[in-house]
Amino acid sequence: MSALQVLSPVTQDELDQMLAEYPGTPLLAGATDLMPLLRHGLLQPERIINLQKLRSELDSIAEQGRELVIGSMTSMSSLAASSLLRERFALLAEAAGNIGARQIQQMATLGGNIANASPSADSVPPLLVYEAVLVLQSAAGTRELPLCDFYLDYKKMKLAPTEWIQAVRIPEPPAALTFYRKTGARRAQAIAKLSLAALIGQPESKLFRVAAGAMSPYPERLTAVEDYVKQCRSKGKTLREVEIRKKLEKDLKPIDDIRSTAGYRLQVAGNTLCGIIKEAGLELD
Amino acid sequence: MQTVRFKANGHGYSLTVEPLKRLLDVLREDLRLTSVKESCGEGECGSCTVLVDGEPVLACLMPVIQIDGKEVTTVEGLQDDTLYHELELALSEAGAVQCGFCTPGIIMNSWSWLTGGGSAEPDRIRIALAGNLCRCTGYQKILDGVLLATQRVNERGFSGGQS
Repeated sequence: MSALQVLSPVTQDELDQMLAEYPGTPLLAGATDLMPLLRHGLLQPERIINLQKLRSELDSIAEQGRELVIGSMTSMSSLAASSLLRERFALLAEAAGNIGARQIQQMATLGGNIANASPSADSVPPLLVYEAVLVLQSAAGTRELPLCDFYLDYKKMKLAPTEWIQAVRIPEPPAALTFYRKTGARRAQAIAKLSLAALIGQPESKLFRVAAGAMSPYPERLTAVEDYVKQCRSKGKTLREVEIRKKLEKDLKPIDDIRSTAGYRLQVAGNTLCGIIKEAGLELD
Repeated sequence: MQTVRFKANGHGYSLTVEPLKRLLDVLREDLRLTSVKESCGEGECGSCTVLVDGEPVLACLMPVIQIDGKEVTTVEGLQDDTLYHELELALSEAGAVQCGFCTPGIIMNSWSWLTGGGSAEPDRIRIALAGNLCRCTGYQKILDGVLLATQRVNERGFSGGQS
């Protein structure tokens, strides 16, 4: 670590310029994911850009019209404590309050959780079902990208080496029941073996969105499950558990790793999802 | 090397250090604040919990550059604090300290939770302390101790502060 250069921009323009000059430089936000990588030599960059001096200006939760705009350096503890989120974007508040424990929630940022691109990133499944949009910034300007198009493969993102995540925009969610479920070895601190976030509308609305974490190279919406449920609901057919589990297998590519096995993950994801569906009052056979 | 300016336990410091040196190492080695303990070193156990601008963080995951312009508090900085003494007494009465290695982290986390208006509800205390591991006590005694301190503090109606 000794030869490593640390740059600390004090304005967003400065950050844009630094990334233009040194594309692909790792950004240090809450430090909770980056520090262990640096310490164990898994990441050996020439330089790091420390975002601490931008933290206060990028730490914000604001309503813009019907949308919510969250600055990328908003901490998990701010998200968990926000009454606006708890009332209208409950899945995100709940996920943020289940990351690590108090100390990690204080340090960790929303942008960091997204950009670290872990398959088990806890904030991502809720953002996917809310159909969040990322605001990406560089010296060339800003652009918006739906979060569902952001991940390409394990730890691969549609993010230019000169770009950084400035904010996350979330449209007003439709009226629906919300479900957030995380399974881990321990209630606190544990990295998820799997997590699910779902928005389920009243029978007449047909709304059904569900996303999973830790079950594929990056968190994803479960499109096969969603299509099946929507079809059944529009035809007035009862959902079948065996079909739900089949569709889950189509949607997900769980792996065996130090935290769990693929078989366990699929089994528990099926159990959890079917539990949610019943809790939402949908008929399940 | 970069110069980092910060306050620790009320004293101002200006240190020229490797900017990514862990706050944990700076506190223990440079400032000799050895109440701050390292157990897991990767953000799982809470032993190294300190306060930065009053909020609990893990000193093993925080690079020192991130405390530039901020104020750090460790157990050494609470020696004249009434709430600290309430916690110390309640934890010892409840038998919540055995080897003691996790205790400074638990005290810092509990202290900040209490000063933030923590209520005497066991489930909320469990959540607040969920990030602090203890290998000796089995947690019930720690919960009892923090609950006892919270009840006493709420009854007497004082909040934390230097006496």
